[in-house]
Amino acid sequence: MIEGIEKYEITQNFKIRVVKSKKFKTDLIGLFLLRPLNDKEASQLALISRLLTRGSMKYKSAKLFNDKLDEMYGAVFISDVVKYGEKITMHCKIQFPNKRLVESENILQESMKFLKEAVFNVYHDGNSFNSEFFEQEKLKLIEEINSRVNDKITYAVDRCIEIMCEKEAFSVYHYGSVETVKSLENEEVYSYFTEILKSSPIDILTIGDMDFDEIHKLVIKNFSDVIPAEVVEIPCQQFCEEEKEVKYVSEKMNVNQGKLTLGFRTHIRYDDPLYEPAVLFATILGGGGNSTLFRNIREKESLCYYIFSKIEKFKSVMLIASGIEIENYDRTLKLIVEEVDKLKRGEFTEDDINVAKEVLVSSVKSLTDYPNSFINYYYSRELTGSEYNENRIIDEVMNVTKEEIMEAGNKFILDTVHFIKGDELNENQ
Amino acid sequence: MKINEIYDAKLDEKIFHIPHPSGLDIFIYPKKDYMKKYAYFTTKYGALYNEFIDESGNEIKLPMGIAHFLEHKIFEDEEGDIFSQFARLGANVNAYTNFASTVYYFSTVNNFESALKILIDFVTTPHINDENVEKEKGIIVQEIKMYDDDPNWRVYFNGLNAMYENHPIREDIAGDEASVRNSFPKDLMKAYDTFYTPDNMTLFLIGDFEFESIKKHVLDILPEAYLNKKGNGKIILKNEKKEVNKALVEMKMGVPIPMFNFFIKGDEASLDEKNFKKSMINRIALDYMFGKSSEFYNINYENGLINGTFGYEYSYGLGYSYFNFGGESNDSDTVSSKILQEIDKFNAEGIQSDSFIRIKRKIIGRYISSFNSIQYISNTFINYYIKGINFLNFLSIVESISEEEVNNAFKFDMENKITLSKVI
Repeated sequence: MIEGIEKYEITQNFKIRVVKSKKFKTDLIGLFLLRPLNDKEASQLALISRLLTRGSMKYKSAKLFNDKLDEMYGAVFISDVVKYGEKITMHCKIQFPNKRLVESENILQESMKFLKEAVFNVYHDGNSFNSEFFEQEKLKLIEEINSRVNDKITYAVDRCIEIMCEKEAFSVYHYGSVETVKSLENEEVYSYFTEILKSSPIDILTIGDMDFDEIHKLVIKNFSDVIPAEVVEIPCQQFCEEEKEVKYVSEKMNVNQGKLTLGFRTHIRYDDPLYEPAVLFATILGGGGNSTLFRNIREKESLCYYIFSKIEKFKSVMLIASGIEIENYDRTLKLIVEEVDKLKRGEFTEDDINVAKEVLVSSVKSLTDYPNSFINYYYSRELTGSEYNENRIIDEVMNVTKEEIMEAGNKFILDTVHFIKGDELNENQ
Repeated sequence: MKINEIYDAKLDEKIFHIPHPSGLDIFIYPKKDYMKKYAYFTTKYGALYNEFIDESGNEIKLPMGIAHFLEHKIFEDEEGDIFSQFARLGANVNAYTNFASTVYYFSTVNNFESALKILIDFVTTPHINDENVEKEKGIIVQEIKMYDDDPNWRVYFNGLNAMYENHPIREDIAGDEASVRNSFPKDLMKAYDTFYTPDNMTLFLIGDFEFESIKKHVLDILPEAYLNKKGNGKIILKNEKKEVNKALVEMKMGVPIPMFNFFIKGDEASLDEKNFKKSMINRIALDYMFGKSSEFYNINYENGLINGTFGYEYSYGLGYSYFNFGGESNDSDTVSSKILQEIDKFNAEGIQSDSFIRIKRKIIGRYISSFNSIQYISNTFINYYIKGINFLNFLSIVESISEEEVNNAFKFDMENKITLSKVI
């Protein structure tokens, strides 16, 4: 339950959102910094997000930094980057137990101060990051990017996107690339960081049992000297390089199970009236145990254990992903495409629609149970220029008709079919 | 009917416990202002129970992975559309099998009572036949292959397999392709009849509902035929030696950076409060030696021997316990010997008092924070309940731990108790 949300627009580039919810044991403060997505910026931001956890001018080592968090009753500080279509953000958040539950009257004040210190006072020596930290984190980030293949389910979907959108910024991996990270120089990244802190949109979102006015004053007190002065437009290239023919790409990896991913262009942006119908189309198709893909490809044909579809909200793309026996590639692909076509022809029931609506409405309502997900969702709504209004969001879903779902689905065009298969098979796929 | 109240005054959290005369333990946990409600129907029957003594005293051995196979097949009724029935109510149903239990659960915003009835009905009335068992094999084989491609999963289970000689923890939870192909309805029904009985099960309900009305509803819908069942299955655990079975196991998967799990085999644990406290003592000692603030972590992170994937745990259950350290490293042999050196140093020097206070404080804070997540708290409560522990005693147990107890955590003989599992 949300008791209220207060907004403070300090400048066009620095906003505060205070979400009041008393049911949680913790409070959460998040700082979001927005940038355009490209390989260079993603690589730099990913590296910076890791350097922030290594130490600040006040806590000059990871040990001192983490000792301080432990003392604040195991407060958790995270910083990471997240992709929103052709934009990218750095999220820095601190979560800590609410003061009513611990013997620390000032835990909120201390946490706010810590967040400011961690982001705006990183360990540096005038014009560069601590050089040891910088070189170490560079190597770690390269390792991390290389290790993404270990999570085959996510990797398969990411690869399909990379191939499908190879000429678009969206294909950039959110941690950038090994080559670019390797080439980064300390002074260059440090100067980039100090520059973007001054010129990028920054949002502070909090959620918990905290007083509106108290948060407002605390943010101003701690951040007044770093409020970005210049208003800078974040350039956002939003274009699609459409192929006329479906791309079929298969890659060999050391796997037991083949990973099949289909990428569709939906041609429906998040602010299009057909966006909700498009989401319903994807939900009826592959959103859980009642979906047509689950019922047919898994339950009826026993071809897979997992299969799902999802819409990339910020990129007008739908993906279908599954893990299958490598030799079942042709048959599964044919059956999946048939299921998509059946929905396009309207071969689904009112019951299917109602179930899909229930799924979406439940997920909107239950967002308020998860503090971190809630502020992420709230932030992403604001990025699309739409307000968070639970009732309106639910109405928008509930009012969708079967015709609209078909109309949306018929704009979906298959763009790329990607398959990861084992080493031993020949390439005639 | 008797009702016990489990209460944590500091957190102001209250759980009602109804010990039903049938043996079924019912827990009702009203959680105000949460939108989602969850129900968990759990049997104390998991992958460790492949060999057991049935009600008539016969020794039974079923194919590996049978508990997990049964989990799949419970999702079957006359129409075979359990998922859709829940979906129509806006509910999301799922299940998981681990070493000691099989858990069926759903979450929903609306229609909680109707969904609860479906949950109880499908778990208490199996529809298992040759045809639907055959059909399921393809799905489970794909599930196994999915895990076979996960190096984090493999490095862990390969290590357990090497460390233990007889204990069933050495087998994968889902079995392997051959054991799945060799599972039949009669095996599944034998397991079902023995372990899916009220005296072996718990029902845990959490959400923003009123205790009295939910209690009445639950008691009304429990089927009479189910309540009269008795199982009396007893797990067979063969003698397990104190030493590890194999000290080294290596698998080639072509990972970018080699992975390791480094195990220290512990004593056979029993499921009581003493072992729970021991696990908390170990957690403090591990955090001190290997946590983000430790010398070990920082020196080896900085010199590149380990990276951010490094982690550690102490785990225990029916007849087993072990320490496990894992992550990515190009030289896991050196990591292993440094872990042992660190333990030697700890045994000589003990924990520093300020660190002891700091770590306790962190553990208490994390415990408090964990009550944000009703899923986490439900799963944890059930897991500990199966281990004979009331999880809401956590704080008082942690607070009762002394420095001296932590200093003694690693004072045991480690000779021949080390297994290193590598995936390269």
